Amino acid sequence: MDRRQMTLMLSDKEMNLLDNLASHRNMSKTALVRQALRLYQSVTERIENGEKVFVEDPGTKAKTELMVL
Amino acid sequence: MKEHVRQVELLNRASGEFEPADVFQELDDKNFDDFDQLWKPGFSSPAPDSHWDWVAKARHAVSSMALETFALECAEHTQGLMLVNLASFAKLDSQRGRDLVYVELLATAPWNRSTPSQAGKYKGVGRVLIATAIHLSIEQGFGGRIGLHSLPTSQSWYRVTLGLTDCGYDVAKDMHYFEMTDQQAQVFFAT
Repeated sequence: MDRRQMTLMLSDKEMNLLDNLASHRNMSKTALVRQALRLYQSVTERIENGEKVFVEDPGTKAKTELMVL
Repeated sequence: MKEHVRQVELLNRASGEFEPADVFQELDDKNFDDFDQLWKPGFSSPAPDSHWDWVAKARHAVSSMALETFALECAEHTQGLMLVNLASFAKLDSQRGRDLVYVELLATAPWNRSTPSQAGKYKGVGRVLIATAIHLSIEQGFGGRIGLHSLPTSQSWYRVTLGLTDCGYDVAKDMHYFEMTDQQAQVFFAT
């Protein structure tokens, strides 16, 4: 697969988040960024197609609709 | 763009010989033509996957980062097809919420399907494609984890032959759901 390189400038806060998420999910930072892009595209497409994406509280069963503007 | 992934071998049941085969990522017009001109006429009417529109699904996958398609070719024909989704998460308790490669569709060519009266032409198409999904999972940092829903006729193959965990009946899909853990993926390649 063709690859293209880019330099990503992140703040300390953003880099710490990336480090923590990658560590928590046992993935490389590159793999985590790729997966984040996939999920962002997937959610965006579903909402643009008229579907709704919810987060449900397991205790109260209350649902919060996820909005992507 | 269609890209060669790896070379493998398939067993020709009639000759007893292994033949070279190639795994490709992303389908092209050759695969679409094989599906339309060779696969479709070969489906027996009750084939549970005969309605799968590989051409439309493969074209949609090109624009999605989450979807990838694979073709297995041997003897100049498409022997198997697979569609996977990388924006998926595990449900099995031991790995719940971890990223995995979800196998949305997997099919072998009609002439490779054994019937009570006739053995299929090539053996190993499904195993090669499942191995491809596991390889992709490892490459993406998912540890080899995969998930899939199985048609009733394939359940014992996934459970017994490939060693996936049967997570039980999924009401939403009306099919059994299976997962492979990273440990099971290691066992898969060791056997």
